[in-house]
Amino acid sequence: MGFYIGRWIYLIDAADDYEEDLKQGNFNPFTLVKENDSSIDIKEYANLTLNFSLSRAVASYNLLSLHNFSGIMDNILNLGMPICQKHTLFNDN
Amino acid sequence: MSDPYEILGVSPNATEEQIKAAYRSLAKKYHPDHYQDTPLADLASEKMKEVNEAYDVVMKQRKSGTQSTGYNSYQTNNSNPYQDGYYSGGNASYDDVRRLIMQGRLDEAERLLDKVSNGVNTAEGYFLRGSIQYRRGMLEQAMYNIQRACRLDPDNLEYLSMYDRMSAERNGQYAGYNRSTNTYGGNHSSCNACDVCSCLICSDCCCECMGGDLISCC
Repeated sequence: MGFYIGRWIYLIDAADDYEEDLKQGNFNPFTLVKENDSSIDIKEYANLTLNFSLSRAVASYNLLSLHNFSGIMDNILNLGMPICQKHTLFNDN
Repeated sequence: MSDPYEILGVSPNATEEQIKAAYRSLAKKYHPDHYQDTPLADLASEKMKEVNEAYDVVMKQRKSGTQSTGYNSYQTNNSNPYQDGYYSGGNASYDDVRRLIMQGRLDEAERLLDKVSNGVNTAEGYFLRGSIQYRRGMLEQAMYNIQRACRLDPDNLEYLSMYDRMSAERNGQYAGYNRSTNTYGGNHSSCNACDVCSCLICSDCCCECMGGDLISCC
């Protein structure tokens, strides 16, 4: 779970910095993807791979039996993080 | 135990190669993967155990104390086939790679896969490579390889179901943001306050239509 959440965090940060990194030529996993396939919609692609990460994290999370913080954790994983994806990728104003 | 040669389906005069081939085809037949979640799972594992035991007895009888030279380097313990689960015998194969993946021995699985593939890429090779990567967390690479496996072998249900599952995960059906339906958290998201309210109002209306009254103030 930790691995996939970390991966999610790294990728959402990369998605956020995508425009700037593209301009300045900085290293960014998404700019590499765009280089390989210029027809790809990066925002769509980023959303898909973030979903992938989050699904794996949630799968592990569901196997835990939390008592104290399950409400907060549920909200963060099922609502907070996806909403963050939406705002970062699709509401860029 | 009854006659081990009978269980393996070979004559007592069969060559070692014939016995190994018979074992391999039986192992493939009773492979527990095909029977997961079915009522036959127990029966399959019993049969597999029987086949393993028979093979062990036959090989021991034939070796009678002498070391065999035909084992691949991935067999750790000759006299203990149950330790690894299955006995691969002579040449390594994709089945051995599967076994290692199932046991979580991903590095070994990958090395064996490289050896077995030997530069040739088959659908099963792509599928196994994708499976290894999926378990490692290399999600995009896994998707790429599973897609290639499906393309090379479009009718293979095992590859297709893996592909479907991964697509569903990517599309936000279990978690994450799904753009086309504008939902969060997959199908398991609990209903929000709007859903509760509208549900109550509808129920109240229906109730009143029938002559009752669910919520007196509405």
